[in-house]
Amino acid sequence: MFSFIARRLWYFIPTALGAVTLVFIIVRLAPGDVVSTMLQDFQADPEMIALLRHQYGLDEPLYYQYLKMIWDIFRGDLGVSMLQRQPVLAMILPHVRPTVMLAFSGLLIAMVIGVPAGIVSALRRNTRVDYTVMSLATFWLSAPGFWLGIFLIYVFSYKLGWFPMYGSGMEGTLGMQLRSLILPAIAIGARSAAVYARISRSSALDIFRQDYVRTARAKGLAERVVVYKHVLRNAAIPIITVIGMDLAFLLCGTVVIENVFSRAGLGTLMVNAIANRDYPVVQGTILVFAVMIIAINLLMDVVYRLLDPRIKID
Amino acid sequence: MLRLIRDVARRKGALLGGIMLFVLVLIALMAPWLTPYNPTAQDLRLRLLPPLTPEHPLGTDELGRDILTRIIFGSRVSLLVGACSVLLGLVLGTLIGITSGYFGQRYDTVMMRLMDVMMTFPTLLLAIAIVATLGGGMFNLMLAIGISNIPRFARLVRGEALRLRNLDYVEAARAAGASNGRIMLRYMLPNLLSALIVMITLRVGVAILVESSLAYLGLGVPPPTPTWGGMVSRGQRFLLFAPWMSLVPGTAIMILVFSINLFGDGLRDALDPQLRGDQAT
Amino acid sequence: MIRLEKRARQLLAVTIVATMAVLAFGVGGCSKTATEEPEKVLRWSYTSDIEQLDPHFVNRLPDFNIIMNMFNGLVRYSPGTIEVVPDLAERYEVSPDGLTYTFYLHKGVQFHKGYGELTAKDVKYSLERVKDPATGSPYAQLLSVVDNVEVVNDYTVKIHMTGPDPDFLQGVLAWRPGYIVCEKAINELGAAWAQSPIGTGPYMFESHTPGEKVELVVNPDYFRGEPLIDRTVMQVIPDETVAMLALSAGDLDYVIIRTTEAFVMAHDLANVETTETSSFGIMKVQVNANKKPLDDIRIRQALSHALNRDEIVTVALQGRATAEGVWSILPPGVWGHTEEGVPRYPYDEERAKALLAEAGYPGGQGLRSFENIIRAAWATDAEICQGYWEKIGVKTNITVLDGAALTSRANNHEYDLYHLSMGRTTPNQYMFDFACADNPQVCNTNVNDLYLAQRNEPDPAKRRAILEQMQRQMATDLFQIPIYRLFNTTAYRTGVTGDAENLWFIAVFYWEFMDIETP
Repeated sequence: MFSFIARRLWYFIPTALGAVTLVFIIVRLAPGDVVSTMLQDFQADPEMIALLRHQYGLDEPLYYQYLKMIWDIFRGDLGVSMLQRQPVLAMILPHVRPTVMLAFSGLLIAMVIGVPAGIVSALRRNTRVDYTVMSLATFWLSAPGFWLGIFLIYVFSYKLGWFPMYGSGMEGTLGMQLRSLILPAIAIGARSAAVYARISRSSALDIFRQDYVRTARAKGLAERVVVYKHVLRNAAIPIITVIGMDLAFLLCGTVVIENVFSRAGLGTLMVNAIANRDYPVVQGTILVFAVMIIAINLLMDVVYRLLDPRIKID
Repeated sequence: MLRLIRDVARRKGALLGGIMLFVLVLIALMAPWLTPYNPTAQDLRLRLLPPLTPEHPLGTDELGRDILTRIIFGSRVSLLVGACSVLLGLVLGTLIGITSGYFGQRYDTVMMRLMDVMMTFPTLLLAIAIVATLGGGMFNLMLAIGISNIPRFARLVRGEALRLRNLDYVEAARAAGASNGRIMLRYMLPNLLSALIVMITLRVGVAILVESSLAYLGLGVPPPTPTWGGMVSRGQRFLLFAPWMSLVPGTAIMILVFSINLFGDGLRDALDPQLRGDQAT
Repeated sequence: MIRLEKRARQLLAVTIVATMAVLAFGVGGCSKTATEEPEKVLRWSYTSDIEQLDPHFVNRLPDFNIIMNMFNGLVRYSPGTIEVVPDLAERYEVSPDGLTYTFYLHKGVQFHKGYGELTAKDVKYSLERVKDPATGSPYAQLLSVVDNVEVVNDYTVKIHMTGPDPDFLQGVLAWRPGYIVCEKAINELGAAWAQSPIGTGPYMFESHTPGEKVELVVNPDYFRGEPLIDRTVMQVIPDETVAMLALSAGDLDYVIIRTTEAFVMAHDLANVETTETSSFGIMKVQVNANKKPLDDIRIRQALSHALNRDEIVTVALQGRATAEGVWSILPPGVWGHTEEGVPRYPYDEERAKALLAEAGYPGGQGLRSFENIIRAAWATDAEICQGYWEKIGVKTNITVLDGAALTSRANNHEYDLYHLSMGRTTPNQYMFDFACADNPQVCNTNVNDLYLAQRNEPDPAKRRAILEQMQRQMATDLFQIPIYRLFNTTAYRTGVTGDAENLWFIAVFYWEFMDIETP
């Protein structure tokens, strides 16, 4: 197990490098650069544009810019934002906490609601319970987060005044932070809950059909024991696969929810940086995303191995 | 094939879902013949008419365009974006996943690292990057969402393939001298279908929601082309005084996602060899 | 197996308890929301966060709104207008040849947070800082007319020019490159300077929570006297529907409105007042006349005649714009504006169709689809135009771009049609677009000569005459099709008083003239 983890950690380097390279190419293909962002407000002479591009090192050959970026990253230097002129790492750090908190609380809500709902649905297959759960799941699956978000704000913040209208409360107490977290977590977790419910239901149904469950039932084992002993454990693998992928989605797909709930976050930072062509910030945020997602994948693989020793990962 | 259709048709839910999907596709194909209006024709004097107005059964939007017409035409884009982006991810993802899981070794490692790299670009961010680079537009949007689907399908399929590769009947086929391609296609692929179908039904819904989210961030299919997601996001700004502008397309998305799910579930059950004998419900 | 199962159950129990705790904590905490602070706080919102607060780099509204309340220049705009009045200078003199400006500074103006008194040396440092290419300021070119800055004594400074620039006060010194910064602070703060700068203005930087808010506190030593509002908080609220709800709920005091939907909502909200002040930004469509068939003036005229401007401002924009005063390149209120002899091409669908037919494209037959590039925030404008043009048979396809891509494509002339609206202060800034180098389509007209002639004309009467001729000529050429003049619109909580209505020409406001009743 230890050598497995060590090997996976070693993989981190090419993966992160790949991600950074890909984003290097993508953002430089986009028309315009940080100088055109700076000069949006007024017309500028071509000489002025050339001068500024030189100032920001944008007239260097691309391979040079690329190698310099890689070298800086290896030295642990994410560079300096072209627009804000402060170190990228210092810019990114305050955005990590709100994003991680939002993603994990969304995940928590989704798991607590979605997985049991799906399993109950499978146990009561084709009953009213099943239909209700699956209809609700479809509803949440097709409700866009920003739409749900405005609705939640209107009802619970505006009409009832239970929650703040905006912000993440990050500078306040833990209580304030949690209070600011509930509505966005529901808005982002609702879709995931629906996904988990569907996956849990279908995985559980798959297991019910397996011979060993039939055998167990035929042996007259209590249904509760069958569910706990066989179904949950075996249904866990596909559920965990989906949760692992979904966590990545939650971590980075928070842009829209952050927008509605006026929260700081990595996604928003990156989207703005792309729009501004602030290359070092785009590269820095993608690197942070890469680290987080690789960590999640590693965690998932470890969990797989714990759950199902038959899987050999090499 | 016939048996499959019969199996699907025997399940009420699947039948309903299939019919709904068929109707939606039909609506998309027949759009110009279904409505007297042009989806981009504006008449500002007819701005924000509520639903059930005689001439405009689902009301009008803020530029006085008939919402029903825009829903009908919007189904084209939404279905196309959903279908093509999932197809792209499905085909390439399955190919990569099944070969990785089957061959393992170096190839698997390289492929999975590549998928990891792609996974670090979640759907929305990848779409934002691609749209910012190539410009908004339906094709770029399909490409962006489709590419982000590849690693998802690949990882799912690889996981299953790892499990299947060691099963007795695959070993038996190999012992009997079946070629690698044949084993993958004939013996492994059919067993992947049920997992894939759940994924497909999910990702079609995701594609439409991503389109909607991009529209909300100002990066969707450019106006005036109507899309369901775009209409919901535009309507969100009118939620408090013209709620129908987002509720109507929202309902359309829900119907689509619902019918895909119903049909997908039925198809999955019908494909599952173990279930074939069961009494369909 | 059993152990695992037990652990799973425990885990489930823990998560449920944790969730309950979160909920209880959250709901329980909401009873004590109101903080009984005696200080007066102005909470205003903007749709995006600040980038940086270095006045010599600023080019975005939220950043600028904060900077203009933190810094002073030698001169500034009188609130609500673009008239130049002295700021840090008590008075100033301009030599008759327009080559020397002499400023007599206020004595005893202190930089924030103990950085000492502002003197003529700081003025020299600031102007040279902007001009120095190594600084990388986008405003460097505006200072190319400055030859050198002479420190006469601590409170007197002379600016020597390389040539006359009639817009120097209004377009440079009262504008962003004219803010006076503190050399000592820039050297001491280093990289932190652009995030927490030191000025002389009525408000001082306090804190920035990235992505969420920026807080400023009053400067008790402000040289014009301490303002009434003690603290201002800029809250980042990207979704305007949320901002309007927050305003109505009393969680915000002041919102600069950017969309028609929010404008409509604001009118319906209780305890919320709104203002509309005219701006200098005319929304227009730049036509790329270098591309066929847009070089045919009849097609440009047809495009203009097709737009029903009254309907656009009253219905689509719900009265937050006017169709008056759009036909001259210089809007009403800018020096040199005239409407005399300026041709108009107002709504006339029949005329538009006739012109198209005359140009050889009856009903739009044979005409290619024009690409209309626009930023996301204005996409509806392109959509409205597309609707009108479709009626005369002209097809357009809309390309939505972000700011960087838009600027890059506009500068490279890669478009057919391009929506722009720029609020500016001086004739030169408006006319700059019509310099030949910048806009090849005008090279063949006499506009470029007129532009160069007026730029260096020190005699105001002669310059005005040239500008008037230019306005007539440019309206005739119709390289830009005007649509409407947008009002600056704000919504604020009842109880915000003072200069709340005096929103400045590009939707920013001075806080030093405002007051607020604590609710």
